[in-house]
Amino acid sequence: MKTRFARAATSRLALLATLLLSNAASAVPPAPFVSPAQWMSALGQQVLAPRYAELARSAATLAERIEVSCRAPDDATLESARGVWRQTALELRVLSALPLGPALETRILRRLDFWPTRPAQIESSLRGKADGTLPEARIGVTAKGLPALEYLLFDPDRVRLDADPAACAYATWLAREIASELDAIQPAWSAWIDNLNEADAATEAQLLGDGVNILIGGLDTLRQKYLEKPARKPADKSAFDAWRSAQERAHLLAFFNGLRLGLQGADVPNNDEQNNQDLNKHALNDTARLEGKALPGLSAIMRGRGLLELAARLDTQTAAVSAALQALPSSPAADGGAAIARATEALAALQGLLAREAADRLKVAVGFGENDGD
Amino acid sequence: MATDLLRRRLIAALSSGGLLAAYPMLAHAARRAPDANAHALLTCWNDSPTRPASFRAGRLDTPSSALELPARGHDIAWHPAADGSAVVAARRPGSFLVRWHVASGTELARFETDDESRFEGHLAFRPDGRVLYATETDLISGDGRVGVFDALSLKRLDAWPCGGIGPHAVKWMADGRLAVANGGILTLPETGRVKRNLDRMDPSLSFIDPQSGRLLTQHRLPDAFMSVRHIAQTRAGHIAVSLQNEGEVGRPLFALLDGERLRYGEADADLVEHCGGYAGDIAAIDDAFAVSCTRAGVTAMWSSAGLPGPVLPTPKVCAITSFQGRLRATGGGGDIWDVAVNAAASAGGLAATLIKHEQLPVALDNHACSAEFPAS
Repeated sequence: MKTRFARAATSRLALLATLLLSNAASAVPPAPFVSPAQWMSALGQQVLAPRYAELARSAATLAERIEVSCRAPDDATLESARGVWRQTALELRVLSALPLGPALETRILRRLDFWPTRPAQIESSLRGKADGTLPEARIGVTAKGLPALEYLLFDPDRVRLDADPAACAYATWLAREIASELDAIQPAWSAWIDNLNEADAATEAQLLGDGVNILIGGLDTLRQKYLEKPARKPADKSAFDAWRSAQERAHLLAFFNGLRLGLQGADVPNNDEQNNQDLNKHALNDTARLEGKALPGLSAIMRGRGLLELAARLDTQTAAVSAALQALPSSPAADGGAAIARATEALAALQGLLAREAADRLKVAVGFGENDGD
Repeated sequence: MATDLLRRRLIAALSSGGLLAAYPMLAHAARRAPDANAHALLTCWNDSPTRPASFRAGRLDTPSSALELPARGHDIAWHPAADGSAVVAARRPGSFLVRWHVASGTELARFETDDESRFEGHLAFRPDGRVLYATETDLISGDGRVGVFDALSLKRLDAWPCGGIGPHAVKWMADGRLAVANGGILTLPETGRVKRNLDRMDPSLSFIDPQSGRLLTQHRLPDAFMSVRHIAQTRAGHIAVSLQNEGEVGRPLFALLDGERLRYGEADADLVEHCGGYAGDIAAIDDAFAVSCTRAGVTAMWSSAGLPGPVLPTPKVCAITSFQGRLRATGGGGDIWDVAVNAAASAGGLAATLIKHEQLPVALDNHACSAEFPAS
């Protein structure tokens, strides 16, 4: 209890200091101090725990729909299963941008989201499972997960799922495995959120470091893995995430929406809010966030520490990335890669802002530099 | 654009002899003895020590044919087939291995990782040139591995556990074993190079059967906070490692394999302090070892018995290789140092003299080898 009181007093002092400094420096009302534990706790309570639970339900529904499609094969039942896959995969894609807490510790995203798919391995696994030569325990991550299910449900060169009993059984098992894995980590979310209430100074520093690095890593993944690498061969659409289900652009936007929840929280500002009046408005929004249990992002942490101008630039560059991604064709390289080039440029600028200026001001060691160590 | 600029700067510096000498006496030495092999190194380089944006691999003396890389390269070696090709591994956590024809800059083969694994920076060839080994990490389990590849096509053949996490250097030993430096530091792809287990590190030097992948022996230092990073072996067979200190207490950055145990090289408090906490490379020359203490900016030497030798000022030094009977070291500031080593010169039995220093307008990466395919 003493610790909690002491922490509350420290937070109040920090808030007071922020108030005084902000007033003196910019003559705008101060933003409330948001601790890294508050940031993570809000993300855990409002985004991660409920959305992982939702994802588990979607995966269970997917298993049911695949089973129905296999039992009563026709266009309607197959399309129903495909529709649930689309929804489930989009839910996963948002969450895959925020591998925090139990998601980081359990490596669950690595097991659910192996990509690019390895069709030959999936085929040999499903045949081996069907003829009993390959025990389930020996089927590796590289033949599992939602992308493997996308291959079985959508691949244009493969026999229809509902016409292949072995593939049907395998797909149903995969979907159940996913639901089961997701069910298993549900209790870890509440335990993680509870522990955040007890965070000491060292834990707070680690939470901030992990949070900032994970956002930088997410921007790096979006830029390099999902855009630059596939764009090297613009004519080959198979290098893009979710190409089989024609969800490439939707997946890119979903991933960025996940990042945006971490960067800005739930209250995304307008593009043009850059002057003092707008900074003032952000500060009020941040107060409302805390009082009304709204979702703060990294930008709220920055404002709470007096980094108003930097937070505004973060908002502006985030909006620029959003606009660039929105402008992508549904098949992202359909224009020869020009829109991808604009998006990667905007992403690189946002990543640079976070990795250099924000990390420096927040005293976070960045794990994605090109100029350190071996 | 940055690439063109980088290439032009390097070509201009080489063609005009426009090299900056940091030490007047060395500049004088350089003027006295022009060296046709001044830049005869196979290495990687980039355009900036602080914000690199353009990355190359190739011979420093023929930069116009260098291979463009998507990110910093790290370990680099001539292919044992002696066909003019070499292989470069991405700096950890890395995504590529590339084999290319060095003189023409033509890419011959490439392996890129996916969500299953990532490279950890180093490679080694089986002497017959048919198999290549590269350190890597299983991204799902976090375990360290030795990836096994066809040395010509770079197609994956296998992956073996290497007995630890965070492997870095891998080296073929004279007795036909494969040595792996298990750094013992856990990093995750989600958080990049952030070290996540400094309170429970388990570094080691492992030896693996290169035919079966079986772990043969494993050797540890008394301090778990000393990360084992790089490996060297003298012609007489002595094996040593260079280290990275993740603790609060100073320790030598050099250790010898002494029977079954790793033991630190001898170093008094001054030497420990002088070398700092991070060694970037190690090389054997004659019966001695040289360790590049990158952050401290010195190159320190030990005899194969573990006795301390000379310490040379070499700011930002990292790559060290033996070259025409000398040590040649390079640094992130573009420096190239040539060092003459005499193993029987003085009472201490080991002497080294800095005989040449030059500086190129690029940031040289961490490892290098002779520009010519080494004669056996």
